[in-house]
Amino acid sequence: MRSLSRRPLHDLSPNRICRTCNLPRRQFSSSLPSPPRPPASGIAPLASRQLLSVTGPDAAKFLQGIITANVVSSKGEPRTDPFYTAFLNATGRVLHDVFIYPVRGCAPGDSAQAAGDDGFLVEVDAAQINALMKYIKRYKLRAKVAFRAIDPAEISVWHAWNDTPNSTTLDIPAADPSRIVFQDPRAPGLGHRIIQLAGHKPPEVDVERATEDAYTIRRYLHGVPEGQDEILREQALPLESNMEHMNGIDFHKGCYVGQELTIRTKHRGVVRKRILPCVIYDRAKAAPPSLVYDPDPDSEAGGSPEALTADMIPAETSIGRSGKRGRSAGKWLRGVGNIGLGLCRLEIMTDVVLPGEQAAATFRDGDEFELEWGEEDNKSGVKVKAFVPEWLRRSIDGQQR
Amino acid sequence: MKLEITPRAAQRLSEIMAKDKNPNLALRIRVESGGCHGFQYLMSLITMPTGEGLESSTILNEDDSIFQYVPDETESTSPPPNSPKIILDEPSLELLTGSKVDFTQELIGSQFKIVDNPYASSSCGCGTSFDIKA
Repeated sequence: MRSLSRRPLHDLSPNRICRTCNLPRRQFSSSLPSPPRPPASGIAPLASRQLLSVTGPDAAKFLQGIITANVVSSKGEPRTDPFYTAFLNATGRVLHDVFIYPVRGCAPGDSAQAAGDDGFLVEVDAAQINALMKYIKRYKLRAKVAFRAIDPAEISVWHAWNDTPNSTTLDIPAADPSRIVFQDPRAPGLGHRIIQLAGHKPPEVDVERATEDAYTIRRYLHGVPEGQDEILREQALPLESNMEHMNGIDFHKGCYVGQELTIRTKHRGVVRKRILPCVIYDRAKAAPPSLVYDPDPDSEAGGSPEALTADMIPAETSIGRSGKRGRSAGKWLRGVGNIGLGLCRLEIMTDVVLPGEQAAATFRDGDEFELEWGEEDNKSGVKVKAFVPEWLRRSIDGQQR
Repeated sequence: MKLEITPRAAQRLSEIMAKDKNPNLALRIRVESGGCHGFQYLMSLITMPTGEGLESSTILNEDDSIFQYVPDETESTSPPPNSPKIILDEPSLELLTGSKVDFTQELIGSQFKIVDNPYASSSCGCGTSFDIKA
């Protein structure tokens, strides 16, 4: 770590220099200070998400063939409630994780569309919208569907939450036709998605306005991955990304792209790796007892200037066992401050007992894991601990019974 | 645009035409999105409109191509009058050109089948669904 100080001065970008004294703010660190703790209740605009409209008489049938969730309700009628789902490729790897909002009549803002057509808004990682557009166009053939990327100024995506101990409900007028309000189905207590059909105008919800960082931190604390920086395109598997526990997969709907591997793994296989929330901590310190976001873990220790934060760790850094060689225990995905997400081998990093196996094969309480990155003579490293969220543990247990 | 029809497939179509006493019978092959690999073949038997019905018919569309079976050993290039016909629409033909239409007889069942599709990169276990090369 000390060797980081050998960095040439011109490598320091302006945002690392304190404006008042013109000196580097964090001498040894290469990142900005970590964002503050999220407020107990808040609402945040999500610039990382963008919408795509799919309209036309064949829209429902068209989507049914290429997504993991069922477009038809359990009663056999077209679904009217929003839902979480994914697009997979033919070999069963995730291409995009999305929310789909059915819109009756013509899609909002789509005045060019004939009224009466079924429509859907598909919410996707904003960096991936062109890839998704290209992908679905391949499957259009003769189907009567039209696609359009929607400008964020036209319809915007928001997320609101309330963790206040006594009243965890949010007062959002749902009946308003200018917005779609939808409880995030991925994890209990995560919050609500709000699709603001009237563009940039923020929804009138009486909570603190927060940034997307606050949303991301809460998402990590709940262990919910999102977007292709965390659910890696053409690499991640839907079951390893916990999608079946986040209500994103219907195992009874019939054929869709990628169904073969997904259903075979569900019925015949074992999911050995899952995306889990992790805490990183200094190699010299003890493992943290719980999953808590701390923007500045060294503050009480007199402010260690060389603190390493999760955003410095390169994606897909291998997680190794402390003091042991052998195969990788998982890989790092993305993080902020002292928390983040990793794709973790359950039997090595957690006490989860896999179906058909006697006991947690190799995990012992007190086992420690490490992340190491950087050039050979200039390595940085932290320890990392994975946590199994309560909702996920319950869902996995329920499945095995 | 080329499509190969195997003698076995032609033979089977002729048999169906004879059995149904319908000389205007044809096999329509369509590609639709769906199935576990993204695209699937749909096959159906249709009766081709003739004479006056031809203009107003909705069975045949403008973008349809009609393929007729010409046995390999014949000298003439024009197909015999009652040789079996296969109909493909334009988007389907784009994904099928160069393929072979066969009639397979297997334990799992006898069926018309597309084999050796040069555009398919992978297909599912039952062979009705496939993925195209990007």
